[in-house]
Amino acid sequence: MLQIRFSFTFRLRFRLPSSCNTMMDAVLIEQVTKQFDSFDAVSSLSLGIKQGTVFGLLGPNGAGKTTTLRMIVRILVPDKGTIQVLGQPLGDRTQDLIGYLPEERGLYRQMRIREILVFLAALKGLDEAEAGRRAGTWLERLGLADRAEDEINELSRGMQQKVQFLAAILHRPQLLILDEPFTGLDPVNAALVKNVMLELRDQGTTIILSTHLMEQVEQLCDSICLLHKGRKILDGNLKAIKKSYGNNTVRIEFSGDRAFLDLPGIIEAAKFYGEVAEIKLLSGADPQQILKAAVEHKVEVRKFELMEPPLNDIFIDKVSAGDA
Amino acid sequence: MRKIWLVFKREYITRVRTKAFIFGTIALPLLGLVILAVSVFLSGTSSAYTVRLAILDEAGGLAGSVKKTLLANASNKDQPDVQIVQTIEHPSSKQQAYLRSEIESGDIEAFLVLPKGLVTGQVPAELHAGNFRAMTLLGPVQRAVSVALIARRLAQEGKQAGNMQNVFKLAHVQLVNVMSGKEEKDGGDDTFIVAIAAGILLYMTLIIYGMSTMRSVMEEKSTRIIEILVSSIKPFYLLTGKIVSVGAVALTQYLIWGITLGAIVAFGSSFAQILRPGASVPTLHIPPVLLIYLVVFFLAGYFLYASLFAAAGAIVSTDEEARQAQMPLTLVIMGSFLLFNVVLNNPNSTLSVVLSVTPFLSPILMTLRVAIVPPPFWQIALAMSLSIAATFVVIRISARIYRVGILMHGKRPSLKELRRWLRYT
Repeated sequence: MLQIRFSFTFRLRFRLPSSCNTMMDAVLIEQVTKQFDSFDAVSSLSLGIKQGTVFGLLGPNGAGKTTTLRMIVRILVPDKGTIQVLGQPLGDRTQDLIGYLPEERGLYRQMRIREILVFLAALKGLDEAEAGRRAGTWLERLGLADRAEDEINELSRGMQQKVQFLAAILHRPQLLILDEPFTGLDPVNAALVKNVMLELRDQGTTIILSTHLMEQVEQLCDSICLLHKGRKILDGNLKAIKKSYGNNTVRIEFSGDRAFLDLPGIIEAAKFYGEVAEIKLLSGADPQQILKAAVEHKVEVRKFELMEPPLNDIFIDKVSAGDA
Repeated sequence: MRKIWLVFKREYITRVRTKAFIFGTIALPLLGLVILAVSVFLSGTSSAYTVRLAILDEAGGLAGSVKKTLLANASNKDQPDVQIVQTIEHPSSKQQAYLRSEIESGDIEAFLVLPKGLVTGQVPAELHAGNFRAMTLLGPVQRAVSVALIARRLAQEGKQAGNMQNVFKLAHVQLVNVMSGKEEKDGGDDTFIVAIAAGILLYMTLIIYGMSTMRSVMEEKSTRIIEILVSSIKPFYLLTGKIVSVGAVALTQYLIWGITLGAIVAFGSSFAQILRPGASVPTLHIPPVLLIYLVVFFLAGYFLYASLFAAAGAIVSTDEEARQAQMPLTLVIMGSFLLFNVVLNNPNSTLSVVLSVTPFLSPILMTLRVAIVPPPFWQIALAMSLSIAATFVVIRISARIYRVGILMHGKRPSLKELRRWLRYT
């Protein structure tokens, strides 16, 4: 089984469509290595991120995602290799083109919202008066207009989160880096942030999204890269990756005894969520066999769906393969 | 440069509007006013107490008039009760020593010397006082002596109208302090008091503003805003903007203190007159040169210590660790304060000179020397150059520690790890 998975040559498959695209890479990482003491946080990583796309940077905890992002924003310097942002090597000029929402984040507690937004945008080279105007518009849009003169420590966590998001986008960066942007946001605000992200992408902003929420990645990302122990174990166009995994997953909603799914030779694994089952088929198995078994066991089937494997499964699969 | 300016501005504005700054800035001048008011009121309560006074009239013929005026005003609340125990005209030279021994034994509280040159205004009268209450007699005595002198001059030259200006010239009475047994002329303590005050001020502001820089670094670290900042600006610029800004806040405070102090000195006596008419006001003579050196050496010391405090702030993550890390720095500042005595006792000894040009010690010790006996200029220049050179070295090291430390969380690094930080690029 594992050997079959390994035989997929992602690089070959997915380089082809992307090479048709002549647009410049928003980020080009070549053979980058970063060591902490003797530990390799990132080793020989090469990565290209197309302009105007949403790119998912995924991986288990400690995979080297944050280290990679920190190198792009020039907080850390790679030991080996080069990084280019929008065709330029990293430098003072590229720093102003990037907006960064770190995972570990906070703001000056004693400053007022508008003040801190203007300060951070001005640090990115934006004129202070213009920053003030944009802060007003955006605070209005995110429902914080009446809090503009409040101090940060008077805000709830979710509100602070929105202010931090604004701080990352106020200077209209060409490259926006968001590390877990949705933690601490309720569904309404998460949707608000998501809409703003898609809007920025449509305006040409390249977005790097690092998150553990696979659902968000599936909804937002055009391409992904999966890191594990500092190495790239999967990258490419999200749709193509899923397609390569084939439609070998069946989602079935039923009422009755689940014993009918005891089908050796057809089912590799099944996960149950109440009366819903997500079934992974063995390769070559006919999904119709499951329907047949349901009829034989007199189980009522309300919904039967052949679907792409969830990114979650691909993630777990690849990471555990990497561990083996 | 623009980014340094932005950091500077943010830090300055958020700092100056904190309650701590406003209270601190107001508190010191307020304290000065309170001390002034208390001293004025304390002297006001002395009317219940009788000061026994002897008069040595070397000029002759003045004692009677002075005594009359003093006693006539005895009911005046401004003046402590006076009992004239003795008036001696044309005293022998031993009389003064005898009266001084009487003050020391507590038989009298004060004696007034009216010397021969007094009438012509060449020599001041002297009021030898054995305690604070006796000192408050200075004002009334001055008036009484003036009255006696004017009467005398009128009698002598009254017919020549052209000399009226000289006739009404007020008497000058010098206060002589007999309290500690040592005889010190009025104003002799000034340099000492000013020197100590300057030292304490430097000591306090270096520690307060050093720690303030440290807390500011810690805040950026603990709130994690540092990650956003460092993605926008080089850590060295951030450090520079921050240190210069906190220094500017300190200078602002100095300026406000200086102005109010000047105002108290200038208007202190009228203020005292409102509180208690006729009261005498203790004045301090602060040489302006000292104020300039105070600021210059504060800056020299501040940049040196602040960059160290900033590095310390970058190393630590918790308040507990912060207390440990700031300890050695505070000790060095405190140490130079403790070396005060060495310099005070002999400001021009080789030891004092060496100590006062040593970086880290020079801010406080050199200011002290400037206050007591101004040292040769080359020593001040040497102290400054050494201090500036040390600052450059220290800032380079601190900036490296700072750059690595601000992104580290968790355990405080060991000295070995710190040495490795210095090599990180």
